[in-house]
Amino acid sequence: MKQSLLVQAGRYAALVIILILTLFPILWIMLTAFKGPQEISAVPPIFFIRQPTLANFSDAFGFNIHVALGNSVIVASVTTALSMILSVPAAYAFARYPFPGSQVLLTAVLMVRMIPGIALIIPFFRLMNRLNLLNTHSALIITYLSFQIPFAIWLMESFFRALPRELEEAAMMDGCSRFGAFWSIICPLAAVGLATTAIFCAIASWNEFLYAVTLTRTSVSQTGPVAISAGVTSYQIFWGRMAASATIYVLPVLMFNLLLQRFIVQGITIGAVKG
Amino acid sequence: MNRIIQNVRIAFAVFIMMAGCLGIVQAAAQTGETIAVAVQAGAPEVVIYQELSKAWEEQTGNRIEWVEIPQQNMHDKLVIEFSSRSGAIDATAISEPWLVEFAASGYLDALDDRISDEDRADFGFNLLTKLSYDGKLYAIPHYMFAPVLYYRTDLFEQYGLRKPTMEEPLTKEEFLAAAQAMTNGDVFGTIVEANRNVPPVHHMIEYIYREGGQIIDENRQPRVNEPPAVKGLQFMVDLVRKYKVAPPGALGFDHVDNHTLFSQGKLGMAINWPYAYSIISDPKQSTVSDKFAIALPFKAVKTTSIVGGYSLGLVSSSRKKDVAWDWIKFITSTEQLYNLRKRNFAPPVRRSELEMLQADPTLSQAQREALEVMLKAVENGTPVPSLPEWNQVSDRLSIALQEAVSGQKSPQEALDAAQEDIEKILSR
Amino acid sequence: MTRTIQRAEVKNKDTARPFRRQMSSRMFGFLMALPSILALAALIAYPLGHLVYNSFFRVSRFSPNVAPRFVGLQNYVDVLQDRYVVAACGNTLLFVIASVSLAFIIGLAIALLLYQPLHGRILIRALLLSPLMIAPVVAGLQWRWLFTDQYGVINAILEHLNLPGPLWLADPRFAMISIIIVGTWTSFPFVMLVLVSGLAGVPEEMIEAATVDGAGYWQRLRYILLPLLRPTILVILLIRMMDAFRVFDTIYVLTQGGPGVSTETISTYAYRLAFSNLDFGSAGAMSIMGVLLVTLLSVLLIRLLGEREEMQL
Repeated sequence: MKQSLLVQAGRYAALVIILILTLFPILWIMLTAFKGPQEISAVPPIFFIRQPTLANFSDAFGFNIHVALGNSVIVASVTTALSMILSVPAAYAFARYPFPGSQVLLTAVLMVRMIPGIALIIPFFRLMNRLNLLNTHSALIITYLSFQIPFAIWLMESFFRALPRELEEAAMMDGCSRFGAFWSIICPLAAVGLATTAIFCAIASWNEFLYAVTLTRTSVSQTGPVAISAGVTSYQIFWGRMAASATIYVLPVLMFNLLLQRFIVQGITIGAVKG
Repeated sequence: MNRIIQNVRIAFAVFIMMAGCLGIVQAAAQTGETIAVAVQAGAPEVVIYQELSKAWEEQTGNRIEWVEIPQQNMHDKLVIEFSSRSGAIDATAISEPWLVEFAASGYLDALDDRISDEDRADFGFNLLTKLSYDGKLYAIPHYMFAPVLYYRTDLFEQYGLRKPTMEEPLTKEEFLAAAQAMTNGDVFGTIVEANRNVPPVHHMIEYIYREGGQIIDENRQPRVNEPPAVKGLQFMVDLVRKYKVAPPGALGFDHVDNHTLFSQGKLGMAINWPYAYSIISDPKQSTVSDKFAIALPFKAVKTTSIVGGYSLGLVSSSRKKDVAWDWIKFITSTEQLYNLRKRNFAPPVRRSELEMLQADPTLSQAQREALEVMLKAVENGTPVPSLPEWNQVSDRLSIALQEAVSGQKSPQEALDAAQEDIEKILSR
Repeated sequence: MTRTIQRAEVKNKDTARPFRRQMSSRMFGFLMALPSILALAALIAYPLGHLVYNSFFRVSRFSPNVAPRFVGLQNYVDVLQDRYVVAACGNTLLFVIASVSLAFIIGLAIALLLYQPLHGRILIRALLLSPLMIAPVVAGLQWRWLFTDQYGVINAILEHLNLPGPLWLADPRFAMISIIIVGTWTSFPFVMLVLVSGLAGVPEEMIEAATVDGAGYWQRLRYILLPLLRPTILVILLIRMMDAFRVFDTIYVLTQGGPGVSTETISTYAYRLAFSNLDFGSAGAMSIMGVLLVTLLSVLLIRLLGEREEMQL
C-alpha cells in the first residue's frame, strides 16, 4: 500500500525522535566508556570528548569482565534452550488441546510469575545451599527457569492461539500425527513467536541481577550484572570502568538479537505467502 | 530449526562436561587450606589486600578465595549467608554500622581470646571499644575515619574569610557566613546530603551531635525529638531551604555527589569522609586539586563527627577459624597496615602504624597536615549508637530527614514521628 | 462466511471419530504440558512453601538460639496496619498503571509506524530494542546520573534550551515521574516487539478487503487490527503488569524508595522489611499479599479484555 510522501516523511520524523529519546541513555553510557576521569565528572557534562581513551576498557578486562561474560553466556543459553524446550510444547497444548484442569494450571503458572523476586531469594538460597549448588551455573539456571517457564508458556500460548486451526486440521487429514503437525507445520509458522520468546528469555537471564548476586560468590559463576555493579563502591562510582563493562556486555545480546531478527523477517514473509 | 535444537543440545552437553572437568582440576590443585574472605567488590583497598595477602599465602601455603560483593548488596548478602550458617565464608569485612547487628545475631565469633594484649594496646582511639558488643570484641579495625570539612582556600582568601585551625575550627555562625559569602550563581557555599540511604543519616546525626544532642541514651531510650536534635536538623534544612547555600537537589545527593561537585569546583565547603581526599587532590580527577584544604567540622556546641570504619571479623559458622584468624592477624599487623596506608591515604588505626607514617620521609607537607586533621577528627569523633536494631532505626531516621528537607514536615514534626516509631522498634 | 462453515464441517468430522481418538486428544495435551508443569512444580514447590510457611512465624532477630515463634496471621495483620504499606501499595498501583499504559501506547504507536514497509525498518526495530538489552541495574545507575541535580545531563540539556529542569529525584512528585519514565523506557520495547510479531500474523487480505470497502486508517485500526490482536494485547498487558509489580532493581538504584516514601513500592518495602528490619516473616506476608493484589488485577484485566472463544467474523 503506497503512502503519500508526506505521510512517509511524518513516519520517519516520528521514528527519529523516538530513536533519539530511546537511544540517548545508551549512547551516553557508550560515550562515557571512552572518557577519561576528568571528562566523566565534568560539570557541566561534556558531549564531545576531547581526549578519548581506551583505558576504561583495559580496566574492565583487568576486572575480568570477560570471565563474567562467559558465565552469562552459559547461563543464558542453557536457560533459554531449556525453557523453550519445556515451554513450547506446553504452550501448544494449552492453546490447542485443553484438558481437564488446564485452565486452572495455566492460571497457576501465571501466578508463579507474580511473586516478587525478592520474596523467594532466601528460600532459593537455602535450597541451593542444601543441594550444594551455590556459586555454580546450575543454581542460576534452575532459579531462572522458575520464572522463564511461565513467561514462555504464556507468550507462546498467545502466538499459537492466533494461528488458524485449519492448518493442523488439513495436515492431520493428510495423515500427519498431532505432534507431526505441531512440529513441521505450526512451529515454522510460529517462528516469529518462537524467536521473540527466545530473545526475551535470553535477555531476562542476561540482565538478571538479584539472584545472580545472592546465589554466586566468586568469579567462577558471577554473571555480567554482578561484575558491572562492582563499579559502585562506598567511596565512589567508577563510571568509566562500569560504562566500558556495560558496553562490552551489551554486544553479545545485540548480536543474538540481530541473529534472531532474521527469523522474524522470515516469519513475516512466510506469513505473507500463506495469506 | 531441528539443526539449531540439535546444536543446542550438543553445546549443553559439552558445557556440562567442561564444567565438570574444570571442577575436578580445581579440586586436585589444592594444598593447604582455602579460606573465603568476603570483601567489597571494586573497592581500592581490596586490590591492595589481594596483593599484600600473596605474601601470607606463600608463607603459609594457604589460599584465599575472595568473595567480592557489590557494596549496595553487601549487608543483605552477608545476612543471607550468615543466617543460613552456610559456612562458606570464613572472614568478612564489616562496615561499622552493621557490627553490633551481626554480633547480636550471632554471626561473628568473639575475638578476646585470640588477640594478644600488646596488639590490644596498640590500637588507638578507643577503636576496640567501638567494635565491642556486650563486653566482647568482635572485629579488628583496619580502616577508621571521621568526616572532615573540605574548603576552598582560594575562595576563602577571595572573600576574606578566616581559615579554620586545629585549635579554632569554624564556629557555626562563621560556617554559615562563609557559605553565604561563597554562594553565587555558579558555586554553592556547601552541600547537604539527604538521599534515602545510610551516609546522609550519619550526617544528620553529626549535626545533632554538634548541638549537644543525642540519638539514643544509655537506657536505650530514643531522644531524637529533644531541642538540640531539632536544632541540628533545623540547621540542615535551613541550609537548603532558607539560606539556599546548598544545592536544591539535596534529597538525591549522597557522598559521591558531594565529592564530585567539590572536585569540579561547584562547592565552597563540604563535610565529607577522608576517602575523598585522594580524589580531590588528584589533578586527573579534580579541577581544584591545589586549591583546597581540610579542617575539623564546624563547632556549634562542640565539634564532632561520626566515627565509622571498616573492620574484619571472624564468621561464627566458619569451619576454618584458626586459618582465618591467622590471616586477619597478618593483614592487620602494623607492617601491612602501613603498606595499605601508603597506597590508600587514610588515618592509621594503630599507634605503631602512626609512628611509622610520621617517620616516613616521602609524605608531603600537605599530606602530613591532612593526616593530623583526620586523626583529630577521629579523636573527637562519636560513634553511632551501639544497637542491634541500628539498621532499622537509621532507616526510620532517613525518612524523617527526607520529610524535613523536602518541607513536607517541620523538623520537630518529623522527629516527633520518628521518636514514636523508634520507641516501638526498640521495644519489640 | 466460509470460515464458520469450514469449522462446522471439521467439527462434525471430529465427533465422527472413534471414542479412543477423542480421549487421546486431551491426553496429548496433557502429555505435552507435563514436562514443563513437573519442572515448574519441582522448582517452585520448596521456595514457595518456605515463603508461605515462614510468613506465619516471627523470627527472634537477635537471639539466634531461639526458634522462630508461630504467630499465625499476626504478620499479615501487622502489615495491613502498617501505614507505609498503604503508601507502598498506592505507589505500586500508580507506577504499574502509569508505566504499563504508557509503554503500551508507545509500543503500539511504534509497531504501527513500523507496520508498513519502510526503508531501514529492521534496523530501526533492532535499535529500539536496546533498552531491553541493558541490565536494569546499569540502566538505573545511568538514569540516576542523567537525572541528578547540578550535574545531571538532562537538566544540562534543558538549561541549554532555556527550559526549567525539575528536581527529578529530589522532588517527591517528580521522583515518581522519574521512575515511571525509566519503567516505561525499559518496557516499551517488549510491547513493540510482541505487537510487531502479532501484526505480522494479520492476514493481508483482511486489511485490503476493508480498504476496498472504504474503511479509513483509524477504522481499520479500531475494527480490524485491534480486535484481531486482542489475545496478544491481553498477554502483553498481563505480563507487563506482573513485571511492573515486581520491579525492584531500577527503583532501588534510582531512589531507594525515597524521597520519604514517595517511590516506595511493594517490592522495595518487602526488601526493607527483610533486610533492614530482619523481619522475614512480615516480608513474606507482604509479598504474598502483593501476589494476591496482582492476581486480583489480572482477573479484572482478563474479564475486561479476555474472550471465551475465538472471535467470530
